[in-house]
Amino acid sequence: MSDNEDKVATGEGEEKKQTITIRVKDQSGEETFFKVKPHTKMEKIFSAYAQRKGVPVTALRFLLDGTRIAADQTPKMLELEDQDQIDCALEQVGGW
Amino acid sequence: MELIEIEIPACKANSLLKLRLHEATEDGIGAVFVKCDFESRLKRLPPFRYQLYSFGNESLVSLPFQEILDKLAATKTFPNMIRLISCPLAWNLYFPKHKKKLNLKIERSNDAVQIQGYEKPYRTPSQIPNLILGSQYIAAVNGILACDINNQKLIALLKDPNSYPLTLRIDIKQDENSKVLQRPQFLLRYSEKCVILSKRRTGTQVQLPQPNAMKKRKQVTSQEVPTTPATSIENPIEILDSSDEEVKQIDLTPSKPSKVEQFTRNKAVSTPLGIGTILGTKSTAAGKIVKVQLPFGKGYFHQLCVKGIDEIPFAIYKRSQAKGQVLLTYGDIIRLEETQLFNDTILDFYLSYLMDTLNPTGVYVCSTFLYGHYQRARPEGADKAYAAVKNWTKGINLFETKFLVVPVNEKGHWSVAIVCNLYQLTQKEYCRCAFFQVIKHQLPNSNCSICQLPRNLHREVSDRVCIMVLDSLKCHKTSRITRFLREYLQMEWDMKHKATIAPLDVSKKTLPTIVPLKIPRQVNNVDCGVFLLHYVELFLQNPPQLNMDVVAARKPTTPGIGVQLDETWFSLDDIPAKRKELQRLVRDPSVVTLLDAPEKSSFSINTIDMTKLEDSTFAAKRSVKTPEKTTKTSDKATKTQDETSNIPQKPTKSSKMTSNSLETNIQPKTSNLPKESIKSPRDTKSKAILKSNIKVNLDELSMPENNQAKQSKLAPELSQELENIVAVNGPVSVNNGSIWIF
Repeated sequence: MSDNEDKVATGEGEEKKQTITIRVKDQSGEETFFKVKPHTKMEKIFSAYAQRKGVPVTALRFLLDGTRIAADQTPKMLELEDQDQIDCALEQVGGW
Repeated sequence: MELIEIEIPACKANSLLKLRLHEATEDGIGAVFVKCDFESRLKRLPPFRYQLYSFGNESLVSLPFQEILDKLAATKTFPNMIRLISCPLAWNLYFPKHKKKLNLKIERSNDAVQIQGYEKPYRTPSQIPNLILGSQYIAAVNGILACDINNQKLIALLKDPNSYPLTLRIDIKQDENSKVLQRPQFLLRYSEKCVILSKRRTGTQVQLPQPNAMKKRKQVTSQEVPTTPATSIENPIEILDSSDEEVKQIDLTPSKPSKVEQFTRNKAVSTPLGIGTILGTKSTAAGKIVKVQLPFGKGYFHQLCVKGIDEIPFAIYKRSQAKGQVLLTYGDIIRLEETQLFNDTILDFYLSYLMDTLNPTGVYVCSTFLYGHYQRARPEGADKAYAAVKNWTKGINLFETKFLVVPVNEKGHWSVAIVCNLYQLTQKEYCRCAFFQVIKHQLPNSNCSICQLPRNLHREVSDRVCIMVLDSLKCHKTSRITRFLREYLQMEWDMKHKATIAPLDVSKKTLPTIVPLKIPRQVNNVDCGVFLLHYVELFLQNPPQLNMDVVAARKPTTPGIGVQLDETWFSLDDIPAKRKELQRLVRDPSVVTLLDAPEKSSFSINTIDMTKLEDSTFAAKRSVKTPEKTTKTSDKATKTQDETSNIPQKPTKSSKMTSNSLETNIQPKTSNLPKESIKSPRDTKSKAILKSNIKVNLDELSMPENNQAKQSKLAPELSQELENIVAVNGPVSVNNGSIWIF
């Protein structure tokens, strides 16, 4: 949190333009990169990724340190920094 | 019997009457009151409890539903008196002859026999209470009370030819099985799906009463709210003009166009008649027909009027202990139904809920993805695998937990491992040397000779460190799970505590496995997720004793100490109850934050789509056809003319439509749709179901001429009926390939 506050303090003006790159790593280890603004909702990344992979976005789970990322969160809320990685897992279903 | 009298004031003669009604019996006799907007006393009346008794001097009780509507719409004298009477809660059904098939759908529960449905042809000439009135239980057969005999006997009586002619007494009760709850707070939800009887003039503004303004016209619209549990077996119809509700509905529309959906089994979909699950699809010449399981039956819909809502958020559960939230979508909610498999979201939700409500100390629930993530990276080596999940325990010290719950998903099956008493390894007050090296304490009650700390014999003996694996099918390989846990915990220890405490060898010796052999297990192939949740809940509520003997014997069934994890742990009946409980929880506003229902939007997406279609495809045709059409009934003629003159501009996609533009949106439908939509009931089935179960077939949207030709073949009363439905369905119907309601 403190890192972020620092940023805000140092470069308020820059922040608007600034973009960060996020790595989405799937279960096979393949990485996909997304360039986003800190205030872009994560769902945009999710849907872009799902589209790219050709799977419905509901079948994917995006995890940051093992915790599900909500679609309406932003990189800033998640305190994501440049080159940070999020994991992508497939929905887990079980019955028998 | 309760009788309620309401006066319809004179001022209503010209404005909206907006009385919402529903058929009282399965075969469409009598009308049940649902809602009315003009009388404050009526606004709070529970829906579906009162029947229309009389209007003015005319009795309405035993009139066909349609006639009641006609009568109400045609009345010109105001003020007038309308009387409501509470619906009978016991009905007698008379079965004159013995038939092999009674055409009753019966469900036996513990203490009662419930009637789930009536199939045509009905074997009884009696009026059959509508299923919407409540849960129907057999109270007596030929005067023999059902409570005096058991279910088996009762059904034997029904099957016995000697019982006939037979009188069946049905009790109607409001209980958890009821499709509609007669509570005022549910009114809003149900009100939308019934017939609204409104009287209004052509303009949108309320005008002064004029004699010729009394010409009534009615539009029937069936508007269904997808999320609501159910309306009726019959098609609920709405007669409406532009009412407030509709404006609201349009307001809610997102302006994005609907796209072609992928339909797979068990997907949650919103249909014009409610939310359901896809049972299958069938390709026809007119397009894909989707079979949907709705709360009240099965429906067949054209693909265009079915919208996948799997991804639409339903509710948010905010965790209070762990950070973050769980977002439940409609797709997830559908999974709570029986025969559906649980996914990680549901587990995540309920485990978080458990943590927040039970509030157990020292319990940590791992991510459901931990095991899978680790194992998938494992082929590249343990280091790589651990690296993949290294950050997942940021801020949590696994070795301070009393119970570490690790859900395991593999091969489409859920099981759970609970690592117990890990806290023993990091506790500082007492000696823990025994975990790190083989030592023999000389004296039972003394300080440790190595670390000089006092020994906690009680803990050493009763709270053993171990892994308990609970698998409802014995489907997962226990050794694979325990190997993972030991490996993972070893790395975790090496990473975080090796330097500060001592090297630890996580092995079978330090971390033994316990597999209770005789716990209740699933008997089907869908419930493992439910079992997992139930295991964890009961385990945390009442942890079993894990003393030396138990761990040594690897069976937590030592008699007399704590809970026994054997077949008596819980009853298998808990499992369906757990599903029910979950279904309740996800809809409980005190537990979750319910989000706006998508039903209207999906509904309106169709609307918009339709207007677009109409604008482009039929704009020219409409003007030509409307007059042709109107020659059919003079009543219609006046209506349509009003309407056509009333179309000032194209309906826009704008979500904020004024009631004016709304008007225009509806009118094309009424004038145009019936033609296009009604298809001759060539289908053998359709004749049988046309009356109360309606099939609206609008497949040939792209070939309106064809439809018109077909329509002329229809019997006039059928066409009238369908016309009404279609008019009502308005937005839905154009896009509907077909709707069958069973």
